[in-house]
Parts: sequence; C-alpha cells; structure tokens
Amino acid sequence: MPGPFQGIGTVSTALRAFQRGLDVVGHNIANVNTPGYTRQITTFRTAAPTDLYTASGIAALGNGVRIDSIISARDLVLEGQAGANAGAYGRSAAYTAALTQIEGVYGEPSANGIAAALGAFFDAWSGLGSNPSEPANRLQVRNAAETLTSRIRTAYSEMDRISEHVSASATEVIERVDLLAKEVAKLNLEIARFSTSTNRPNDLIDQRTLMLQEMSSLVGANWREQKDGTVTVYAGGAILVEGQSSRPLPSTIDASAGTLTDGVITIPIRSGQLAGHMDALAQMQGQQQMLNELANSLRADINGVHQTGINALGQTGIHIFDESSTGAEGFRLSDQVLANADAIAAGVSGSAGDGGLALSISDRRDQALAALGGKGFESFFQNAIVRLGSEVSHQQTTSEALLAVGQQIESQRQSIGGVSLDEEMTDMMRLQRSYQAAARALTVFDEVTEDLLGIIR
Amino acid sequence: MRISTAHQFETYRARISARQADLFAAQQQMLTGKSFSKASENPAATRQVVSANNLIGRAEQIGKNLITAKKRLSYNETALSEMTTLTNRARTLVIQGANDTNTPEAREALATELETLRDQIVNIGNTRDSRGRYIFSGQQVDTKAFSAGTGTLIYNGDGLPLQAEIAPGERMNVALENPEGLIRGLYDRLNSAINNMRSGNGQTLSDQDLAGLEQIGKSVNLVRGTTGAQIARVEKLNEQNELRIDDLKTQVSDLQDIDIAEAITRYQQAETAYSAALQTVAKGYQLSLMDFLR
Repeated sequence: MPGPFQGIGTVSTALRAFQRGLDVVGHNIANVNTPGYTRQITTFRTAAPTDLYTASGIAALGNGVRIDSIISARDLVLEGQAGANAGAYGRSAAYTAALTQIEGVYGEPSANGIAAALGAFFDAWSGLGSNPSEPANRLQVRNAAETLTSRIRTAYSEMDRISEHVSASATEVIERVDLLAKEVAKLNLEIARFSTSTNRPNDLIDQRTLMLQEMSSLVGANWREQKDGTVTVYAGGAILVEGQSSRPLPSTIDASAGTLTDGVITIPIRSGQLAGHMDALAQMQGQQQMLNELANSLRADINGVHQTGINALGQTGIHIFDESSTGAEGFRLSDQVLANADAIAAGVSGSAGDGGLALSISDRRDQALAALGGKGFESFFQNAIVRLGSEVSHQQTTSEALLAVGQQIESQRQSIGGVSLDEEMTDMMRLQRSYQAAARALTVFDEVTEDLLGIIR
Repeated sequence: MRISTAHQFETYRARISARQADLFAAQQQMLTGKSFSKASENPAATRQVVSANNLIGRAEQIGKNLITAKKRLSYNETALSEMTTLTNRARTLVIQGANDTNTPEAREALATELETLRDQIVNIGNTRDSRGRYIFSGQQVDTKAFSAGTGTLIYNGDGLPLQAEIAPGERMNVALENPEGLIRGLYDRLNSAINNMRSGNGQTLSDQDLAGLEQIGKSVNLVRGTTGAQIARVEKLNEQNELRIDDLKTQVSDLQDIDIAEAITRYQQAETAYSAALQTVAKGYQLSLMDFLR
C-alpha cells in the first residue's frame, strides 16, 4: 500500500540511479586510454512494484528504477581469437627479428662477405700457380687465406653472441610468464569472491584478460573459464594456473626440440615469443654447423693437397690451415704460414718456377665434395645463404600477415568494447537531462507533500 | 561499425607509421642505388649476384695471369729474335770464310768474330726478365742457365714447363721448349765453324757448318712461330676475358642497381602518400563532440 511519500521515494530512486549511471560514464571516460579496458554499460530495471487497491482489484504501482547491473561489453569469442593470433604472431615476430640479425652476420651479397673471400682465396692460388717465383703472389695467397679464416671465425662467434641474447630473452619470457601466472592466480581469488550469477567485477576481469593475452603472446597460453569465475590457464598442455594456485614453467630450454623441461615434465611450446626464440636458437645452431662443415672441409681438403708440396724454404708437409683446432671457431692459418709466407708451397718439386701444386689447389674450387653434400665450396655456401634469405623473406611475409589479422581482430574488439568519447558525451547528456527531469519532478512532489501536510494545520 | 576513440587514434598512428616506412624504404633505395641490399629482399637474385661476382673475381685473376704470361712470352720472342740475327750473321761469316781465296789472316779475323758470336749465344741463353729470372732455365728460374767453362757448355736448368692458368681450368706453357737444345745446338755449330775456319777447311765449312746454320735458322724460326701464336692467343683471350667481365658486370647491375627514373617516381609517390596521411590525420583528429557542446 503506497504511503504519502511514495512519489518522493520513486523519484529519488531515479536520482540515485542516474547519478550512478553518470559515475559509470565518468569511469569509461577516465579509462579511455587504459589498455585492455572494456567499456561498461549500466542497465536499469524497474523496482519491485507495490500493491495498489483500486476499485476493480489490485493493481501494481511502480516504485521507480533500480540499477540492474553494470556489464562490460566484452566478446569472449574475439578474446579467444585474439589470444590465438597473439601466440602465432608472437612466434613469428620474435623469430623474424632474430633472423634479421642472423642475416646481418653474413651481410650477403657483399664484397666483404664469406662468398667473396672464398672466391678470392682460389683466385690467389691461380695467381701463385701462374707465376710462382713472384713473392707478391705468395703474400696474396696468405692475405686471402687470412681474410677467409677471419670472416668465417667472425661469423661463427657472432652467432654465439646473438644466441646469448636470444637465450637471455627466452629466460626473461619464462620469468615474465611465471610472474603473470602468480598475478592471474591472485586475481582469480578476488574475482571469485566478488562474482555472483549476475554481477562480475569488471575491472578485475579486464586486468586478468590483459594478462592472459600477454601470456598468450609469450608462450601461446590458452585458458578456460570455470563456473566460479576463475580461469584455468594451460601452456603446452600443462596447467599453469588453476583457481588461486599457480605453477612456474619448466626452465630448461631445448631449442631444437622446441620444448621446456625441468627433468620431471617436458612441455612443447609451439606458439608465442618463446617458440620464436627457440626457432631462432635452432636456426643459429644450423648455421654454426654449416660453418663448421665449410671450415673442416677447407682445412682437410686444402691441407691434404698442400702438404705434398715443397715450399720456398725447402720444407714439406706444411699445412695452410692450423690442424690443432677444429670447426669454424678455431679456423686459422698455421703458425708457419703466419710467420712466413714462404712456407706456402707452389709446387711438389721445390723448384722456384714450379706452380703445379698451386694450380691444383686453385682447381679444387670446382670439386664436388662428399662432405659438403656433393657440392663445391662456393656453391655449398651460396646455397646456405639463399636458403637463409628465403627463410627470412618467408617469415617476414608471415609476420606481416599475422599482424594484419591481429589488427582486424583488435578492430572488431574495439568496435564492441572500446570507449568512444563522443558516445560517452552523448550518454552523459542523456543521463544529465534525465537527472534534471527527476530533480524537477522531486520539487513538484515536495510541494505536493507540503500541501498535504498543510491540510493538517 | 562502432569506432572507439582508442581504435581511431591507433589507426591514425598505424597509417602514418606505414607511410613513413614506405618513404624511408624509397629513400634508402635512392641513397644506396641498389634495389636490394639483403638476401631476404630477393633471394633468387642474390644467388645470381653472388655467383656473378665470383666469376668476375675469377676472370680478373685470369686477366692478371694473361698479362704475366704475355710479358714472359715477349721475353721469349726477343731472345729468339736475337738468336735469329746472330745466326744470320754467323752464316754470312761462314759463307765468306768458305771461300778458299781467303788468307789465313782473313780467316783468323772471321774466326775471332765467330768466337764473339759464340760467347753472345751464352749471354742470350742467360737472358733474364725484369724480375731477374732466367728464361732458359725451365723451372729453376733463379739458377743461371748456362755456364761456359773452358770451352764446354754446361746447362744448369731443368727445361721443365712453366704453366700459367690462362682460362678457367686451362693451362699454357710459357717457357721455351727445349731451351738447352736451342742454345747448345748453335753453340756447338759455332765451335765447329770456328775450328774449321782456323783449320782452313773451306769445303767442310760449306758442306757442314753452313748447312747446319741454315738448319738451326729454320728451327729457331719454327719456335718463333709457335711463340708468336702463343702471344696472339693470349691477346685474344685477354680481349674475350675483358668482354666477359663487362658482360658479368652488366648482369650484376641489371639485377641489383635501381633504375633512377623509377626510383625517383616511387619516392615522390611515397612522399605524397605520407603527406596525405598526415593531413588526413590532422583534420580527423580535430573533430570532437566536445567542441560543439556549450
């Protein structure tokens, strides 16, 4: 049964409701630049009616307005898509960035690269063989060999350097994911506490979603929302976050297998920046192996021919390349040749004009070697360079495509949940006018009540 | 579609960034003059460029080898030419000496001159090139080829060939063939002529020494012919080599160098697009409901 202050009560619900509505608009405007923020919308519903006895029965008299809920405009499907794309893009972008550096190590095509040094090396032997009694030609051979060994060694150690950086980045990613997992677990606890069937703590959920998206871009994490409002987060099939507890990622990286292990469990990482870093590390391992094969083949092949010759000092069995070290890391000239260019032999007879050996070495450039997969030195290296260049080009294209897809998804998410200042302004005007109307109505009800009370004077 | 404020500005930023990147890329091309500088920018062309550059390097080395070969062959040619001159002079003297109307004094004078010629032969045999290497010593280039002790000629060289790479995988022997035989033949024949001259054997001079000298003259001419052919071949190869280098350089340029007119056009287009993006953003950003609310 409505009382004498029914009208005042009804209208004041409007004042309270519209004021809260304005608060929500203000919150939206304040967070226009907050990353991951989805705009919040106030929904109104009528308050429960009071019974009103009328001549023809009981009618329902409205009691004004209540705030039904404050919901955030999020699209879970788009969020999932964004996460998946973030993982794929994260992998491609991280790999591409490293590939650009790796390609830069060789710098081909270039007059200062290994390919040019290989050519100059064999050219120098041709020069020595065609004029072996000219001392300058021995110096040319030594210089060319020095340049070749130096460039191969440098390329190898540059790969080491880049690998160190990438490994450090990968470790940072793992640490970041562990941190995020802890934070998500904390948020899970708070969100579960505040969630009811109709109302959810929107800002906390926005924060948690942002973290989940980041975990996706880092390790390709995916998540499943539970009934109690918490999310369970997975990476590589292993659970990282469940309810309010989190577990750190295994921290030992196996780049060639693309897995993380801690001796107990091994999980594959196929997505996210971490996968990209592992791709890069595996690629560099491959490059170093290629350089090793090249250096070892040169050392074995050239030394093998050269040691049969007699040099200008009358010695035989001398090596061009130092045999006490292996691989590309230790690829250098022998001490004898470094000390004296006359240690280089041009012929097998020891005569000053015999250049047959040098010409034989020059001919080695066209020889197909089993150790190099049936290729000659020059084509072996050229193939490696072109393969790397194609890979870089391919990854760049993939990266760009994934970025475009990501931007599309983001555009759609923004369309649904992004704050538009113009729109908020309009809402603000609407609520302001409504508030004005309610306030005006209140003064009328006030006068009516005053009149009513005035009767009883 | 709803456009949120954040999305609006993000789009502005992304578009400006993209046009700026295009402009920068066009600038880089013009600054370097190259259409690509990294293998990833054009892997297929990279292979061809690297391969062509290697061939150019190899051809340039061949060019140097050809120059060295030609110099050496010229020395050979000069020595042979001197031998021809010497042989002809010797023939003249022998013809004169063969005539029995000569007095012993006249014959003695001729013999003396023949001795001078004989000693010159040894000198020719010890010809050295500009680097001091003996051209008749075969591979023993630092060893004096001939020593004439007391009338006997000793050969200290080995007469082995000197191979030069004059085309990829191809060799040419730039040393004289049979250097010992050439010099010794003439030396011995002159010795014989000197003896016969002093002994007054006019008939022997005519029958043997003159015939011998004529034979030697023919042999030397034959070797001169061969040497001349070698020089001609080296010159031809040099010509071809230079053409090949030019061809390869053109190939590399076609693959890697930009067309300036095209590059300038692309740069201007990029500049226009960038300017348009900036102007659009400047205009778009100014519109806001707040400007119109009282």
